[in-house]
Amino acid sequence: MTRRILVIDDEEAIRLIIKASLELTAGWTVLSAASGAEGLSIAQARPPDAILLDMMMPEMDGIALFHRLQAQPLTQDIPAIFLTAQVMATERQKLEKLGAGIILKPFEPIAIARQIKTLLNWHD
Amino acid sequence: MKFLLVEDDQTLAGAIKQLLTQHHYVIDLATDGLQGKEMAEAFAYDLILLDWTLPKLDGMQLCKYLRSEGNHTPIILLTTRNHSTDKVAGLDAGADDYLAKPFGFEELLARIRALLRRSEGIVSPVLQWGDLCLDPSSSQVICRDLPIAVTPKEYALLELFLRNPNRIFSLDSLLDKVWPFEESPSVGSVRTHIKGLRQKLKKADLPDIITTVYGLGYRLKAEEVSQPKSISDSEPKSISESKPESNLDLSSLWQGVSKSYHQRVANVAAALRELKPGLIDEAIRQQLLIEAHSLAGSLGSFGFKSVTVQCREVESILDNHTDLSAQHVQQLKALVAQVQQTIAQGLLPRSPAITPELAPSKPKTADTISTTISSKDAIAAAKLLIVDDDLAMLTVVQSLLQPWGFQVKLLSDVHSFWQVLEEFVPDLVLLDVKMPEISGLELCQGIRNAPRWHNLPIVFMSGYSDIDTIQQVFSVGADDYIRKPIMAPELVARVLSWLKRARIRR
Repeated sequence: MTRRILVIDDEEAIRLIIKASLELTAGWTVLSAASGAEGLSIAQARPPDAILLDMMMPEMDGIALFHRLQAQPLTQDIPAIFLTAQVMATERQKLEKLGAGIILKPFEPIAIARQIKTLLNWHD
Repeated sequence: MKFLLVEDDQTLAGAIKQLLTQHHYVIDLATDGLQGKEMAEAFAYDLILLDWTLPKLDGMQLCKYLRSEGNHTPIILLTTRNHSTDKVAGLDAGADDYLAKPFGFEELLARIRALLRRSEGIVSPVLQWGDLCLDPSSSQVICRDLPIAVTPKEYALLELFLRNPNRIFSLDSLLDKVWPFEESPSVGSVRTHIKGLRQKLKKADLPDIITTVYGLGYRLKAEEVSQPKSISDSEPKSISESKPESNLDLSSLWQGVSKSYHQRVANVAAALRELKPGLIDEAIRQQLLIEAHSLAGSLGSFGFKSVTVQCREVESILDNHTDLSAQHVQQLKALVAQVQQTIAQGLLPRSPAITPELAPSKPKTADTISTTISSKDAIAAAKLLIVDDDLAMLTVVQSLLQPWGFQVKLLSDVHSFWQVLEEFVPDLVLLDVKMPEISGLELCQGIRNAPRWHNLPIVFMSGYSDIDTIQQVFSVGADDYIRKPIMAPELVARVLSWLKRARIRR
C-alpha cells in the first residue's frame, strides 16, 4: 500500500535520508518540510498517513507543532512520530502519553520504514 | 534478576525497591542484618544491596560472613560513610562495589548493570539471541531494530533465559527467580507468562526460542545462541558496513549535503576560537548546544558514529558548565577539530587504530597469567596500564600505585595504545575519560570488542562526575569509575578488588 509520509525537520540531511530510505525500502511517497510552519501548511493541503517530526526545531518545536496539528480537524487524526536524540524515561512517558511514537536519532536509515510500520501497527 | 536489599531505612528501601522494580528487577527486602543473612542463605540472589549500618548484624559483618561461607553473590555496599578508609574497609570485607549515600539512582542502576555483567562474564551490556536483543539499560526488547512490547514479568523471564543460556529452569525455580518472596503465584501463572512471552516472540518471527524440556522445565533454545552483542553493533553502521541488500546510496546523499555540514562545523570551530575561559555568553552557549545536538543526530544517521559521540561530549560540557575552565575550552576545540577531521574523510570506515576487529591478535596468554597470579602478593605484582593525556596525572597515579608493587606502564600517546596493550599484556587498564583524538570511551569499547581482552578489568578515572559521563563509562563496558581527585587508598582498594575478581573469573 502506498503511503504518504510527511517529514518535518530543520536538518536537511535528516529529510534527505528519510525520504531516500522510505521511497526505496517501502515505496512510500515522502513530503518534507524544513520548519513547523511549513509542515503545518503541507499537512493541511495534502494530509499524509503519518507525520515524522523533529523534537528540537527553531521557532516552533516538535511538541508545539504536535499540539497545533492536534488542534486542526484536518490533521488531528494523523499519527505522529517524534524524531529525537536520547530521551530520558520521563520525557519518553510524556511523549507516549501524547499518543506519539518515538524514533531515536541517529537512526539506521534502512530500518526506518520498519520502525514506522511497527510503531503504527501497519501490516502492509 | 532477583536482588536482596538489606536496608533498615524504610523510606529509602521503598524508593530503591520502586526504582529497581520499574527496571524489571525483582526485590526481596530485609530490614535488619540477621534477616538479611537468613534470606541470603536461603535463596540464590543475583545481587545483594547492603546497607552498612543495620540493626542486629551490620553490613560489614554480614558481607564478611557471606564471603567466608563461600557466597560469591555480587554485593554493593550502601552507606553514608564516605571516608576513603571506609571504602577500603568495605571493599576489603568482600563487597564488589561501594556507593556513598546520598547517591543518584542512575548511578546505582549503572553500577548494578556493570556488576551483573562482570559477574556473569558477559562483556557487552546488551544480551542477544540471534536477531533478538535485550538492552538492560533501556529495558527494551528489540528484534531486527523493532521493539517488542513485553510485560515486566515477560521481560524478567526473557532476561533470565538470556543470561543463563545453558540452564533449564523448573517452574519452581522460575517462581523463585522472577517473583518476589512475598508474592507466591501458582505455577499456572508462570506458565501463562511463558505462554504470553512465546506468543510475542512468535509474532516477531522468533518462534521456539524458549523450549519446553518435558518433565523438567524450560530453557533457551541452545544451538542458536550467539555471543552477546557488541555495543558498536547497536550503533548505526558506517556506509562501508551497510547491508549489501540496501541500495540506499548514502554516499551520494552525503555528497549533496556535505558542503553545508562542513560549513556548519567550521562555523562552530570559528565560534570556539573566540571562546575564552570564564563565563560563557548564554546566547552563544545555547546556540552551540543546539548545533552540537543537531549535528550529533544528523551526522550520526549518515554513519559517522564517532561524530555523534564527540558532539554529545560537546553538549555535555556546555550543558554542565556555564563557567568554562581553560581545559574545557581546549577540550571543546579538540572535539570539534576531531569532528572536522572525521567528516573531511568522508564516509569511510573508522581508523584501524580504534577498530577492534583489526586489532592485532596474538595467541591467548590468559592461562599463563592466571598461573602467575595466585596470591594477594601476586595480585599486587600485577601489570597496570595507565592511559591519560595529562603527564602530570600519569605521574601522580604512578606514584600512588608503584609503592604497592604493581608494575606500572604509563601511556600518554593514545595512538600507540593497541601496540602497547599487545606488548605489555596488562592485568588491568586505568583510563582517562576525556582525551583528545581518541577518548577513553572509544578505547574501552575497542577493548571490549576484541575477544582477547573481554575479561580485562577496565577502571576509568575522571574529573567529570555528571550522570551522563558515568552512564557512558559503564555503557561502553567499564568495570569501575573513580572520581578525580584520586585518593590513594580508594584507588588501590578498587584496583586490588578488580584484579581479584578477574583472577576468580579465570
